[in-house]
Amino acid sequence: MSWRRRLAGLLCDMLSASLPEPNRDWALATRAEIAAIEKDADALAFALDAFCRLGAPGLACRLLRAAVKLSGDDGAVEDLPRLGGRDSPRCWPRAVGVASAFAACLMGLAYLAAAGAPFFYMAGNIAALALGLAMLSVVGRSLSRTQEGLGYVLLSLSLILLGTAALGEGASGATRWLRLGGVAVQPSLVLLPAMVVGFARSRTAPAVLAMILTAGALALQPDRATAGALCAGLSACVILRADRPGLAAFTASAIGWSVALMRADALAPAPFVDGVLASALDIHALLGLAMLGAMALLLAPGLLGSPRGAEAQETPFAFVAVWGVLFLAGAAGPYPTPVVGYGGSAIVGYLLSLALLPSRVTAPTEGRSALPGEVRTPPDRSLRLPLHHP
Amino acid sequence: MARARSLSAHARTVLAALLGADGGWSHGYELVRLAGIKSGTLYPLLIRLEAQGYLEAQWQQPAEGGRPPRHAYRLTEKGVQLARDNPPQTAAPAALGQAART
Repeated sequence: MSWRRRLAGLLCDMLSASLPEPNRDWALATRAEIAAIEKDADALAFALDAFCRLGAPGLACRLLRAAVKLSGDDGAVEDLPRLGGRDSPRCWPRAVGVASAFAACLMGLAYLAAAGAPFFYMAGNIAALALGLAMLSVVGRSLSRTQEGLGYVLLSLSLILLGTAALGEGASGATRWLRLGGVAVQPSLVLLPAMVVGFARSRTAPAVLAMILTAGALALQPDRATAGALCAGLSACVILRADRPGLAAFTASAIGWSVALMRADALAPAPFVDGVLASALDIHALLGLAMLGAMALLLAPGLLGSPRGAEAQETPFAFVAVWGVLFLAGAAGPYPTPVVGYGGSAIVGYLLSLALLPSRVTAPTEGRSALPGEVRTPPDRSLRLPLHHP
Repeated sequence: MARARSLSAHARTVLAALLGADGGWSHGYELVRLAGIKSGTLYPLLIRLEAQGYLEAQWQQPAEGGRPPRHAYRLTEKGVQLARDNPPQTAAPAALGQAART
C-alpha cells in the first residue's frame, strides 16, 4: 500500500475520532470511497478535503455534546447535538455557559500566574470550577423544568443572605462572608445571580418576598456591587414584563441598593480579587483584552440563547443584566471581578446561575410553523453552509 | 420564491446530480465528479440533507470482492421535490449535464 493510501486511511481514522458518535458513518463512508478510488493521489485528496471540512465542526460538535452533558441536561439522548441536527450553540445556552466558564477560568489562571498570585489561589479557582460543575449537574437536573417550589427555594436562599448579614464574618464594617470548613465564602456571589434568574422564571409571592429580603440583606451587609446587580436583574425583568410582583421586587432592590450606596464601604481592595481588569492592563494590554474577552464570553449564554417572546427572554435577559453589572462593578470599582479573578464564590455562583437557564432552546431558525401562503425556509437555509469553492 | 433563494449553488448542483440518478443510488466519489465539487463540500451537504429528510443513505455490498461496503445515497420523495424546485441556477458542470441526459 502506498504512503498516500496509508495517509488517506489515517485521515479517515482522525475524522472518525473527531465526529460525534451519531455521525461516525460519514467517516466510514469516506474510507469506503477512497478504497473505491483508483488513483492514490485522488484518494488522498478526497480524504484530506473531507477531513478538513468535517473534522473541525465534528470536534466542535463533540465538545458541545460534552458541555451539554456536563450542564445537567436531562433531555432525550437522541436529541443531543450532532452534525446536521441542533449543532448550533444557540440551541444550548447552558452548554455555552459551561464552555465560557472553562475558557474564562483558563484566562483567569493566566492572569493569576502573570500577576504572581500564590499557587493555591489558582488551585482554589480550579477546585471551585469542579465544585460548580458538580452542583450545576445536580441542580440543573432537579430545577431545570419545574417552577413548583422555586419560590420557596428562593426564600430559603434569601434567609441565608440575611443570616450572613446578621451572623457572618466581617471586615472593615462589611459582613459578607461565611467561613465553611476554613474557607471564606461570599454567599451573595454564590446565590444572588441564580436567585435573580430564578425570579425571572417564577414570580410567585414567596419569590417576591425572597427578593425583598435579599435586597434588605445586601443593604445590611452592605454589598454595593451585588445590590446593584440585584437591581439590574430585576429591572431587566420589569422591562420585559411590568407586573405587580416584578415592580414590588424591583422597588425593594432599588431601595436596598440606595441604602448600600449610602453606607460606608471602607473595605480595601484585595489583590488578585478586586480591580483585576486594571491590574491585567498594567501587566500587558493583551492580558487586559483577554480579561474583557472572558467577561464577554461569560455573558454569551444569555446573549446567544434568547428565544422569541418576552416571557422566554426574561431569564437570559436577567442573567446578562446581573452578570453584566457585576463585571462592570469589578472593572470600575474596588469590587471582586467574577470568575477571572481569585475567588471561588463567583465561579460556583456563575455555574449555579446557569442551572436556572433552559438547557435547550429552539433556535430562531427552528420550529416555526409556516404561515398561510408562506413557503417555509428554515430547514433549507442551513444548506447554504457549504459555500466554499471546490 | 423564498426557498429558491435560500439554497446554495452547490446544494442545487448536488440535488441535480442525485435527481439525475433517477431513483437509483449514488456514491460519494461519483457525486463529487458529477457535481464538480470537493468531498469536503459534498459531505456536510449530504449530512444536512439526510438529517432534514431529503436524502436516504444505506450501506451496499460492492460488486467486487475484497472491498468494503459503500455508503450510497438517493433522494426521498421530499428530496425529489426539493431538487425539482431548486434546479441549478448557472450552467451545470458538463458531467452533470451528461448524467442528466442519460
